[in-house]
Amino acid sequence: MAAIHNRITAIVPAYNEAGSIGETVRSLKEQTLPFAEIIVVDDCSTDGTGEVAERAGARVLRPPRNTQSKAGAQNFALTFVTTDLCIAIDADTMLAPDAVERIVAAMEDPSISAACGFVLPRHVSSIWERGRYIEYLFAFSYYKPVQDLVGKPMISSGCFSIYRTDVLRALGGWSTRTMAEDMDLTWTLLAEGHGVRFVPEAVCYPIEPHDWNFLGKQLRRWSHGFLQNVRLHWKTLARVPYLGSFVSIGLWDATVSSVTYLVLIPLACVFIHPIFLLGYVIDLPLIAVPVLVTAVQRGEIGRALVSLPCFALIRLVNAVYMLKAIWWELIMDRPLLVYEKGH
Amino acid sequence: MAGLPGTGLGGLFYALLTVFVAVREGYLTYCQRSNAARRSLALRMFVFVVLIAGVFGLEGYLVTRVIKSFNEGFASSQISERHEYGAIPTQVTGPAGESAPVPVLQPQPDTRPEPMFQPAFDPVPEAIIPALALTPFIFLAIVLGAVQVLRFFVLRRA
Repeated sequence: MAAIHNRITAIVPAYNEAGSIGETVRSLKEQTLPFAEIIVVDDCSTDGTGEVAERAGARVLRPPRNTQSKAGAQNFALTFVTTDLCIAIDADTMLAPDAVERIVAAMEDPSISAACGFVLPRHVSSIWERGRYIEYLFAFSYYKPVQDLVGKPMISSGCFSIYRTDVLRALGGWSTRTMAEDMDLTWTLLAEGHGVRFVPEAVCYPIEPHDWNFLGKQLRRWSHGFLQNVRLHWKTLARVPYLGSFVSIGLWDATVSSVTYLVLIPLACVFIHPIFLLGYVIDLPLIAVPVLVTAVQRGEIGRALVSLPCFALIRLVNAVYMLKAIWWELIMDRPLLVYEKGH
Repeated sequence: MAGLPGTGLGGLFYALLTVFVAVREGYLTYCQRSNAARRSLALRMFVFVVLIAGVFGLEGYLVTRVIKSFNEGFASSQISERHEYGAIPTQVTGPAGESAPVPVLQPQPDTRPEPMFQPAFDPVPEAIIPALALTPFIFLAIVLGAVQVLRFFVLRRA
């Protein structure tokens, strides 16, 4: 592990993140495996983000004008990276103290070009945070490990991922063509034959939506970003074993489930029989088992039990945003072009 | 996937994939091409799937019981006059085997009070549980089949 000491640069894109950037930089400085450099890209913030980051000990870069997206800010920083590994971290994300040490271990394998960690909300108090907590526990303890076992994690999460700098540069950095630059980069890497890993021991804690406004902007970006990537990569996906199946299943669940939750179940309840209300909870065992087992291991069983009903609610909200995204992206052919972080 | 609705088809797909991966890891272990970390993860995921299957079985059993009891309650509230006055004999014979006139029971006016509760819904179709269990498998086969067809055409063009 000592050999990779001082081989890693942290890239933290930030736009008006004065409230969280200090904690993020401090969590990076307290890692068991130190960074060679922590670069914060102050993307023309108006709230003093750069000053807070500088005081916390980061090197702050300021592009001449706002880059319009997270990917743009990350690319701006990429030109200043001199190490062979770089880690992308969101400005509102804190890392567990050993997260970098654990995620770097995956890069010892030369066939691996990117790796991502386990994501959990930092605060779990509002309905939306609780719903997201269950979503993350479920996805990162059930879907992602299976994807990793077949060597095709579907997304190397943008809030905390490590990359080989030369591979990243060869691919042109993070693409700005979609609203989900992490998904775009992961699918491009897999299509090019690069290895991607999921490292569940490397845990990060982003701030998740605590109010409707923040949640709406995030879901809008995610749902449009997913569809934009499917449109962009569909031929590539067909060529990559497993990944095509993961995305097809995800697309089915996103579209058919949305219609089912919002239209078919209510209609069936009204016109056929109220027993169809079971449709809203029929898959609860599927969600509850991995969530509760992981929560027990983390000592968070009470939090998970209280949060489970919130998952049912956030799923309905997800469905609304997904149907809207399908309408605008696929039917009206009016893609989302403006990147809004939400806070 | 976080931010996307639905887990039904995805959940089933990943469960089946987990079983496949567990079998594959078993084979790789036999060939000495697996490692402890992969085996441990595959085992953990397999235990998840076994637990999920068990809880789903329990859920199916409970839902079936609820539906049956609902339907029985529905049936008992629909007592016909025929049930009310007992079975009507079809033939009456004497000690020597001679036929006797069949007594005709005249329905009596129903003097019972109106039931306090009328069932609000029709009985639940009993086929709903097998249908709910089978449908995801059919859809999954369709989706995965479509992916393979697409894959065939894309690879052929390439």
